[in-house]
Amino acid sequence: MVLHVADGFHFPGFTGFSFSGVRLLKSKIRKGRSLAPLMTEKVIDSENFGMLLSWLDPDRESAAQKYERIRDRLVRIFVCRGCHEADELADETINRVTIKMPVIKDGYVGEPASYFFGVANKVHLEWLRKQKKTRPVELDDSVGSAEPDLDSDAEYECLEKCLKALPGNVHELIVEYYQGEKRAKIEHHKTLAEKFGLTINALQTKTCRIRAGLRKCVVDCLASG
Amino acid sequence: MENLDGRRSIREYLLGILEDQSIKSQIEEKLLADDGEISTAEDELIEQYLDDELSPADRKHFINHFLAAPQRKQQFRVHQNLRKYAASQEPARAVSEAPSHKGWRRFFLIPALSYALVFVVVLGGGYGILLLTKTYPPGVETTVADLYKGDRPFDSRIVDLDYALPSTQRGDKDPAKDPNRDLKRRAALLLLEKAVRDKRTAESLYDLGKAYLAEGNLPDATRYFEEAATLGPVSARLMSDLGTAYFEAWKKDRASAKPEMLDKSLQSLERAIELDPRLLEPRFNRPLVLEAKGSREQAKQAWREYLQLDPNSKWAEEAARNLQHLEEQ
Repeated sequence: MVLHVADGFHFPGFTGFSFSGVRLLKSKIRKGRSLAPLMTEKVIDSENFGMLLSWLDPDRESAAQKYERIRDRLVRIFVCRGCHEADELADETINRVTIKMPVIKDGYVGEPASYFFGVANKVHLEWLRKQKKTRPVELDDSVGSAEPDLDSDAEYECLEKCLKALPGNVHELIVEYYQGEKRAKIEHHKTLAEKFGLTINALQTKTCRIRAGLRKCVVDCLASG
Repeated sequence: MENLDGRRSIREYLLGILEDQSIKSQIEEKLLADDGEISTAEDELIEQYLDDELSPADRKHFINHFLAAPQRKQQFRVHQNLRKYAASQEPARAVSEAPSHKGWRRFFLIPALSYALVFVVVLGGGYGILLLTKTYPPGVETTVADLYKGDRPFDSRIVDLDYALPSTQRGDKDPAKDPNRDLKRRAALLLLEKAVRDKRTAESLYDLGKAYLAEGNLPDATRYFEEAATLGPVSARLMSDLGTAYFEAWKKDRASAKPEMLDKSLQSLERAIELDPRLLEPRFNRPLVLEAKGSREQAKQAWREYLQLDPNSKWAEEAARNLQHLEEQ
């Protein structure tokens, strides 16, 4: 596998790849326009990236899974911190850790995720400083971030498709969860939980997981056109 | 973290108002390990927002912080669409509920009689008795353009409103011929507010903001437009009216208004033009803003561009007069 990162503006944000067959299904290579001053300038080579994976797990398949999991969690943290460029910041964090691999792999003791977390904090602080410099007017943020990124009709159609693909009882559960008058919602959810033999908390957790699955399905559906 | 405090802290964290750094770190460690609890809290917040159960302050944090990332906006739309889908699976109830909200034109295609009825239900009492003697003929339909016919609160244009002389040039004369105009408008505003409470989407917020704009209520118009723009997707019409609201707010209080308001107005109008180059309202308002900024040459050029797109209308006549005025200076 060759991972070319020639000008320092590329990120290791892949989804769905398998190392056992040296197969790269999808490599998202982004240009960091607005993040440019934050970007690492050193070149990440495949050797460092290989070291990173070995550090995560000696087994390449498990390493790839851990990598994706860490990246997802970093994105979630940046999203929670209100960063509109969460993907890019997660990738920048990974880039920085990857560059440091020759030093980290033998010297660092502890969970790799914690190391990523520390680097993510640094990246976030730099991002905040940059935001202060470039975004002085608060209301511009809300307007500027409201790009017409996705067609809501297309999203709805995709959601319909994804819902129809759910097993019957799961479909029934999630649809019924959203039915009923607003004021009677609590009672309605209690009845629904009883009907499906769940506690209220379990119902919330279950619907949360179903929604997470639906979100992923909608994103995939939109990407496939 | 104790359970209740933990939930409160997670909620504050998600809204971006949690101050305690050590609790923040604890929550993020949870995120790194297993985010089940946090995902549930996120979903709860979205549901509360959609049910209009957040306080005004939390609503602001929700929009500015919680929805800052595109991932969250997408997550939000999944909730919205799930509600929509669930409602579509409930045909009997759906019919009895408020009309589906597919743009303000359709929203306003409601018999005027129902405005009166809603007004009766909502306000009751003396207003109701008064209204019962003033019901409208069934089948009469109206649109926001009809409701504000003959009105033009500002020199700048509001999307879809027909030509009228600006109120500043009409003196004290009330242009309205319909004696029930104010009543209809108040009822329409109530319906639009209800639509926002029922389903807080960019579309419903835009419709309500537009009614406020036509009323000349700039703070509320701006607030709803900004919220609509944050929720997205944004449209040329929304960006045009948002730009108009910023501009008129600046004009209303020039002495204390921030100069950035003009920049924001121009930015919004240019975004509207980018989204729909044939939409006339932002094309008409842009030279007004440019002139206010002191960019006369650019304003002249913008008027010429407007006249190329709309050479034969009352708006065009006014545009030509404005251009001539600038050229004579």
